[in-house]
Amino acid sequence: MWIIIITLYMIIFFIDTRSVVKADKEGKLPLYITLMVVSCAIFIANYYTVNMPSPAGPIKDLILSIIGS
Amino acid sequence: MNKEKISDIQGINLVILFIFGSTLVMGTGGMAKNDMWIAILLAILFSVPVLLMYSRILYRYPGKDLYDILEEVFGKFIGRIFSIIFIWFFLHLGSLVLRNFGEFINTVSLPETPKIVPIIIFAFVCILGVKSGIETLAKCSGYFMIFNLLFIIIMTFLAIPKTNPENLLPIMSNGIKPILRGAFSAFSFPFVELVVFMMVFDSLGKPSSSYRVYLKALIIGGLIVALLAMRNIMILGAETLGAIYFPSYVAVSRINVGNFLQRLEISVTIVFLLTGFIKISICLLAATKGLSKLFGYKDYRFFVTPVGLLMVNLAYLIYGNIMEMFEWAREIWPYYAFPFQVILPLIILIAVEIKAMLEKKNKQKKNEAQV
Repeated sequence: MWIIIITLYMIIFFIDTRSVVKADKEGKLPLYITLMVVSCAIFIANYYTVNMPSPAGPIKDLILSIIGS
Repeated sequence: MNKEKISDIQGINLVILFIFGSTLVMGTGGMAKNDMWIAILLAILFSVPVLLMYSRILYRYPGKDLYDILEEVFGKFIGRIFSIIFIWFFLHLGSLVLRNFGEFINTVSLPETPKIVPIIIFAFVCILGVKSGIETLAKCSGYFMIFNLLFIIIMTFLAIPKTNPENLLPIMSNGIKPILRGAFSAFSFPFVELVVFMMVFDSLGKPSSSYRVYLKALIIGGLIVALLAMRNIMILGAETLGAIYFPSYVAVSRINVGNFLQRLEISVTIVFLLTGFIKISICLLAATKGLSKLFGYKDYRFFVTPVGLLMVNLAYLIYGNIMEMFEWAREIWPYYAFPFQVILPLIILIAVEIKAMLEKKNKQKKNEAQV
């Protein structure tokens, strides 16, 4: 499955960055690739982990502790 | 300098569709039960000063968006910390709305399809929309608005035979407390979610346009939401309304004109999806614009796809199931969103006003020294 996910991300990357040379000149590509890698890693982790920790849980606990119910 | 421009009417259309967004799908102010419509009207009233506050901030810095204002008022370091907080909020809000629509499509029409599929498809449409720019979204909103209003009016008229006005009674039977709780819920979802537009309204023509756009859209959008809440209560009753996830969808599914006009819920699904497209696109636009400004890039379009994909991931992993989603939206969201929607903008407004006052004093001193 992870191979499929990475392949899909690479396809999206190549379609989306048709103007790669122009983007690279402005130094945008490193940030773009970092965001794509983070996104891909979360996607793969989400597929293989049964109870992936979500930000909603800690936020909910924090708010319930503040409002006291 | 921002080159994209939208007219006041386009701005109003965008804000109204944003208000409709997931509100039409999930409903709001449910704690007030059959007094939901009063809660929504109260929420509109409470939202007016908050929207005036947003407008005042934008008025002080014409042609600049929230991130530019933050950097100018607080300096680079603190301004960027504030920016990161807002980027997170816009990304989170977009993910929640995306998940709402994923759950909606999954529940009502594609129960066998994995949840991630409608979420990804919907997100890609929004990515394309945001890549086209705010002008294109604003032009789309004009057509969507006509279509939406037409369907809402037709559906409301067709639903009249199924309504029972007695469902609205007794008014305020449980006292004012549930109404205030409902009003607080409706205040944070959807009315002051309009803080997102502080990223968009730098495209408006005149500095004072934000006042007009915010207030007109709040009144029109809010009254329509209140009217639809009233319709839903009259068709379903308070008890049924509290037991279902998607009240407008179920209310419209009850329409049956002479066994001929029925199963009209599919048409409201289209209305929901159009409004959802605008809401998610605006959140994605705000988050992407913020991220690109944070790293010092002028054009945000290049980062729309990775930020959109992050939004998809967040939308997918954020809740375990639909019950958790509704519990979060009703119980947690109002308290979670309050600092982003009211406290932080209030701090920004105070800082903006103090800065303006100091600048005025300095100018006066300089003038006096010259004389």
